[in-house]
Amino acid sequence: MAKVLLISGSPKAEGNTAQVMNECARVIREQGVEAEVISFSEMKIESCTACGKCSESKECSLQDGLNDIIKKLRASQGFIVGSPVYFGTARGDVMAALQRIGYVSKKSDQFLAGMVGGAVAVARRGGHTFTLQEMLMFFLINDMIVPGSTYWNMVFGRFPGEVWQDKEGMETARHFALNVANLIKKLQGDKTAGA
Amino acid sequence: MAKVVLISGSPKAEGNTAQVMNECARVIREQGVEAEVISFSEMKIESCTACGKCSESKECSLQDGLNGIIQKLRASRGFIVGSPVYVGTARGDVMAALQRIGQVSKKSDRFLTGMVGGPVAVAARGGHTFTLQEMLMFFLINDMIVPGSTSWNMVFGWHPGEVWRDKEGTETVRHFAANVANLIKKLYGKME
Repeated sequence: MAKVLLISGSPKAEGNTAQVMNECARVIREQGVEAEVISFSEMKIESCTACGKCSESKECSLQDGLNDIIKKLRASQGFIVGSPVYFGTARGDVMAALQRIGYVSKKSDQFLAGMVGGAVAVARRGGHTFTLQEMLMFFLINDMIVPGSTYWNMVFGRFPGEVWQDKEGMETARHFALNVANLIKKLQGDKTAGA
Repeated sequence: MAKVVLISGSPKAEGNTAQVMNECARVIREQGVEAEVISFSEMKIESCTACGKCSESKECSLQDGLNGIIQKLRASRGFIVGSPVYVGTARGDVMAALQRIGQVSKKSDRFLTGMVGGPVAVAARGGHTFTLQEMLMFFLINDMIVPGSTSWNMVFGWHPGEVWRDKEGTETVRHFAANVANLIKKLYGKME
């Protein structure tokens, strides 16, 4: 079965970003596509050290658990990354992860090429737009396919649970998740895929 | 047959942006998908005046030729927009066009939904990245599908024809154009 991997880039296991990612996963499963949410709450992602070893080993030389995510991505058709906005940018660990994942892909079997996905930004008030653009750089340079939605994938909320008050933001994220699932199904030749 | 509309947002009919768009069109046709390049060289695109009339008329009230493009988009599956970088941003007419096209789509039959495409930025030295991000806002809010490439869709060149010296840039946009054509065939091939 087709699968989408979702990352909740927040250190909070049950914060707003995690809640939005879980909601996206629910929508994806509703479409008959497998979905797994991985939280960074128990992980510390190191930054790429430009050691270059991935071109031979096909994985990252840093041993902080990211290789497990890379392994899961190699068996997935979709990749959605949710980040909280920290000082107007994506949380450091999120960009550290994306840069290393992209590096390993480019230096090995280009496992990201053709995958469907995109970015979701969660914040109290500002910085969503830049955070999305920052994360989009990863998807577009890695030959992935990014569907849009009825708005940009931004959700407003500060205290855990407040995102549910942002009806438009949640609806946008749900529609995006639906697009990801349907696009994967269509590309796999599934006639039951919706519009 | 499925079709891709390509806009060359430059005022120069045969400048670098036009040459890059023509090359994308060539790659798309090679894949058996129709392609038409529309140049802004003979057009002046006005800015949206927020009149709101498009929600009833299903077209733009400004009569500068953009409705001709909207009509063509309604009969197409793909949309690629190439812009020269002017002072670090997309040329004014390009954003004016995208804003009006997006407004008409949202206020009428959402003809952009599900269309495949993306932006291409052409410049001598800097500003490509922001120009791409600026144009991407249009594609993503309109429920379109944007394939990436082996790098970002940026090509370097100043005097007309210089883009051909940027091997990586031209190869990136060729790969992007092939992605657009192939995705359209996969998604809509059986329906045409």
